[in-house]
Amino acid sequence: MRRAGLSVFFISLIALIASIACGIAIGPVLIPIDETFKILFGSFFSLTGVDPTHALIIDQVRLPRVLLAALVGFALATCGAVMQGLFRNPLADPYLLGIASGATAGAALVIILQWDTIALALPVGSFLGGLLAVAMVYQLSRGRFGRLDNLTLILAGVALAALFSAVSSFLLYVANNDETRRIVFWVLGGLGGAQWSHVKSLFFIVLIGFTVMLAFAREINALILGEEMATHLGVQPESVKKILMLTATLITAGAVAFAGTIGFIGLIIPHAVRWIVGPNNRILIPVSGLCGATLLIACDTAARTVVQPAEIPVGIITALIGAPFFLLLLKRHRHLSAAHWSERT
Amino acid sequence: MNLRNFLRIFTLSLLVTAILVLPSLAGFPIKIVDDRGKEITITKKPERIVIAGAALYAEILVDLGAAGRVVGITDSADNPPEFARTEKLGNIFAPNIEKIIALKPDLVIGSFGKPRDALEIAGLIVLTTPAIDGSVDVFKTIRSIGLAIDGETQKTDSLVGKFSESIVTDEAKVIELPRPSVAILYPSPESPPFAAGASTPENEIVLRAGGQNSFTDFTQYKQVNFEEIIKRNPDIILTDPSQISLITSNRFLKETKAVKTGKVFGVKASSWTSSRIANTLRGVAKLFHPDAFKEK
Repeated sequence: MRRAGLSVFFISLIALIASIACGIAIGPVLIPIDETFKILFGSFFSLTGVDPTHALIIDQVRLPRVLLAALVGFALATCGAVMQGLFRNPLADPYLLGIASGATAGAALVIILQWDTIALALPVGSFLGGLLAVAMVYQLSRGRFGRLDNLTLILAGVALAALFSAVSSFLLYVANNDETRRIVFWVLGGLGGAQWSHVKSLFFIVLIGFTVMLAFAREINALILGEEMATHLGVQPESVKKILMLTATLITAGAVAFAGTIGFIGLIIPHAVRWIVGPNNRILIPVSGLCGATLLIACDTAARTVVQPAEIPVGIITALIGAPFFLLLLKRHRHLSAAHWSERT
Repeated sequence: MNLRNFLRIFTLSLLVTAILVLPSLAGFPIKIVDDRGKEITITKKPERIVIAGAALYAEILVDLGAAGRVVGITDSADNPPEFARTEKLGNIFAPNIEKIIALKPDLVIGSFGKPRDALEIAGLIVLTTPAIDGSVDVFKTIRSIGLAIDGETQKTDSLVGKFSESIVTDEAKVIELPRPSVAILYPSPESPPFAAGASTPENEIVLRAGGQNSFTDFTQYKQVNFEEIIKRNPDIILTDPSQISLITSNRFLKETKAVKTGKVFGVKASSWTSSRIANTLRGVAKLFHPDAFKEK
């Protein structure tokens, strides 16, 4: 099992590298492969025969966009895996606790207050909005002795998501035309307009979060057996849940802040990967991350090339590819999927 | 002409004059304040222009005789026919940034949000003018764009002069006439329509064209319920041409005077903020007061 998991890990790593290469090579503007190589590894080659416009496109448009897609896909898929494990719920996804609607309300508020001209105010506003939503869900769900009940958390998440959507709708209602346009634009999200500063910020958030998740992989494994069982194994369910929820929230809020809400990745990737490598989170979380990154790069490459010069919102592609793929897996592994959750709860 | 009416025409003339006497810079580099309040510097006369925003910009470039300098344009149903063969750059909200950069434009007009940030990081000059709330804003926009592409405002000033003269002339024709009540509605099949309230371009033009907006008790665009529309019973309803049938077939709106007397007219939604705002005004004034335009 362990060796199988390791080989799957390396296969997904190679797939990710291949998809990054394809993502950089393919685009609406045709740039020859050898020229792309020269631009990417400029310091090793001579820069002769390189069109400066092409260099600009690779350096400032495609590379940050592909890397942002990788980070967002990685973030969503790892968070999805962690959430599904923590809540022992196959429908859990990174947006379970109301992050997306909180982030939207935060972004809308920043736009209404006219702060969005300040650099990074929009991502920061949506980030804080997402954090606020989860903090409220968390406070509301805390029972006696600080116990966190899964069902209460999920219900509070649904209710607060509705509340924050109402706030966004209200802000949209009071906004003038120009502000409405900018809010809608933010909600549409997507990876167009990716910048190096976004890539750098998200990289650090994901790096920290991923390290924490991996460090707690064993504890998540124990939690899947049930909280009582986990306590016997020396795991403190409450503190582990707290730390991991905070981590997943931070990463997801970061992804939402720079790319809006992109559905399906966080839901289907962990399931698909679980079917292949099994439920061990030590393997599941990193492989989910790699596959999520690969899938989002592929979807985004399709989004910006299929109907060019226009672009399709990437969420449409992830749903179009993700949903049938997921159904196919579901049909093939029906017996497995049923067993997966029942035997351990 | 009573004092109030005189004052209204006088203010428009004054505003236009104010625009015209703004410092008439000549020659590049030129500095223009954009919609964010940021100063944009245009170093040389732009020969390759990309339009990545509203159709208004495309119209203005045609009016200023600069259509030939446009090398790429985002999709809009309202783009003038001059740009039918110009390279298309996708949706206004998600323009194709790679393609824009590959076109090597000296100036990108109208982009906003994340795409604008990305274009600016790539070293392009992007100019987007403030949002438009009425004719004066349209004139300011024409002037800013003219300044940006030609480095002087001779052409724009004569254009704005021509437009405002036409507006003032038409306004004088209808200002003494009784004002029909007018609702500007944007309906959707099932829910109540949106109405244009005070401080919208629609409101200004309806007023100047000798009408009275039925909904001035709120600003911007608000959804209004059918009861209220029936109660205010407008003489005339204006809407986008594509939505006329939605109004005439609506079982509540059927009760209004406008639908009963067949006075539901289409005015293209984009023409309220078009550079041809003077034409829009004349068209609307003719709908309100056909007799005033019959002579000669």
